[in-house]
Amino acid sequence: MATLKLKGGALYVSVIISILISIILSLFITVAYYNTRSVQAQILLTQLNLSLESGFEIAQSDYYNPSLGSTWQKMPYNNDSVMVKKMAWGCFILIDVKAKNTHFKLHKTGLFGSPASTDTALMVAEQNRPIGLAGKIKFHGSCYFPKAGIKSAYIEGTSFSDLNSVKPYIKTSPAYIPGIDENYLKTIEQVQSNISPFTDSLILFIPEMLNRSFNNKTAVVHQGSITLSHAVLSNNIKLIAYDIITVENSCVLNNVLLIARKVIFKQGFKGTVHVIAKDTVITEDNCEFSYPSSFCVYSAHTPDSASLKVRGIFFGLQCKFKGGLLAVNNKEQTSRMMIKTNKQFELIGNAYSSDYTDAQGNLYGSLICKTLLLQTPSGVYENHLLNCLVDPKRYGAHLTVPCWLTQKEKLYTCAKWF
Amino acid sequence: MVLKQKYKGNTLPEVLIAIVIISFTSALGITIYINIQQNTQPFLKLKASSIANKYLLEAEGKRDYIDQTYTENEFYVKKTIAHSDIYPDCIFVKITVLSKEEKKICELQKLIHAD
Repeated sequence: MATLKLKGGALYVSVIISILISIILSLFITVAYYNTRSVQAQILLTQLNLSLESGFEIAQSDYYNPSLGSTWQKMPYNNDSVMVKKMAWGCFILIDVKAKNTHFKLHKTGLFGSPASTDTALMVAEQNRPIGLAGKIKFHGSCYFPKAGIKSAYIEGTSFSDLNSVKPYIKTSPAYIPGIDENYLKTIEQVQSNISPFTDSLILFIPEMLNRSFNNKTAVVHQGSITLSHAVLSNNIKLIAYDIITVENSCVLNNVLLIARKVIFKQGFKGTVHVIAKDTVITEDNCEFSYPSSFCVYSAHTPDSASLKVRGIFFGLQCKFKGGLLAVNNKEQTSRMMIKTNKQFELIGNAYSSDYTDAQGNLYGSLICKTLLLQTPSGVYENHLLNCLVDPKRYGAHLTVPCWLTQKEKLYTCAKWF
Repeated sequence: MVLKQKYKGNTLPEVLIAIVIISFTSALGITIYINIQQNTQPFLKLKASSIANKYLLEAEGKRDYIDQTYTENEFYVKKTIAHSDIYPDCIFVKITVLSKEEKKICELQKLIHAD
């Protein structure tokens, strides 16, 4: 039998080349597979991001249920789930949203308010008496004053004669100043009274340094009275005292929430703080509060210290405050609310007092109060302003302020993302 | 010139068989690769996703909450609005991107508070 002998050299080479080509093609196929996977993941992530944003929209809905703050809600259109938590953080609203699907988990927290008004500078209720102006007065926005108008007054050795320069801004004030949204006050009341086992985590002592992420439960310290010194506390921390919280200037506070009957900031304190007090917030001289800070004085029930005739927010000399100031009284309460600023005070933001305001210094925002009450070493003057600039236009276009007024359509904007 | 070193050569059938094997392997691999790319259309999906996102942002920015269909490049873009049962003051905005053959490529949805 004749046999054909073929030399195998070229075949071996061809097999080796084939293997090499196979390896290269397998790599291509693997790359294609992972490319497809990553594209799918990218689309899932895009949708999850939208679900996360949907969470913030849910928080703005009137039908939002706060009791669902610690439960996952399934989105109706896909496999994403969201957890939406909303609570008062000082005068601002803190919205915390978590979103997850089978592959990813996202989390975002923001401090929300509404866009500042660039139109309203000052609003007082109708008093049937003119507003007396003394010293350096400037308005850069509408001022709602009583029908009786304005007059020049002589206080602390100064008077104001250039009435014509402010007259273009004067409008007639309403009988009552706009009310605070009932739901807003309820949210503040809830924060004052509730410690939730689902969202709060009690700690026994105040650490020297703590930066708590909003991804975790809120770290809560609950004591009779608290004195803070040399502490560095940031973000998701709530300090609650039945009586007084005293904050020394050696403290560094960043976005921390203080809840007490009375809060005192010692001279020279600087930080970003949110306060909810039942009676009073006092800041001594040279304190600076960075944006977004907020002070709220409100009590749904008459506090034990009802003997206090005047409650509210009181600033020392040369203080600066960026954010929102709210001093609101319950209709049943007999004591009066007051926001008292002082010489060389600077406010960037909004202030609202249900009763009195002593407005001095530079106010870059809107001020709403029932009555202007000027306190000087020489006396107390009702319906008077001394050395005051009110300019809501300067920062108003870019400013988010607490959203406390009753509005048909609320527009939430973010003051700060954490 | 005389070659002192001996070189081994390959016969024609060997070379032909080698070429056939290499060609077959290459063709098979490339076909699989192209099939994967065509079936999954990753780049097309990515493009469709970015178009869907664009139309969603546009609808939200302009507060334009009406059912509409658009044509963009090689895609049909369909915007559908539906009301939420749980949050009656919110609406679902769904953007579906379809191919010219009306095959769904990508779909993005968002709940929007629209009082």
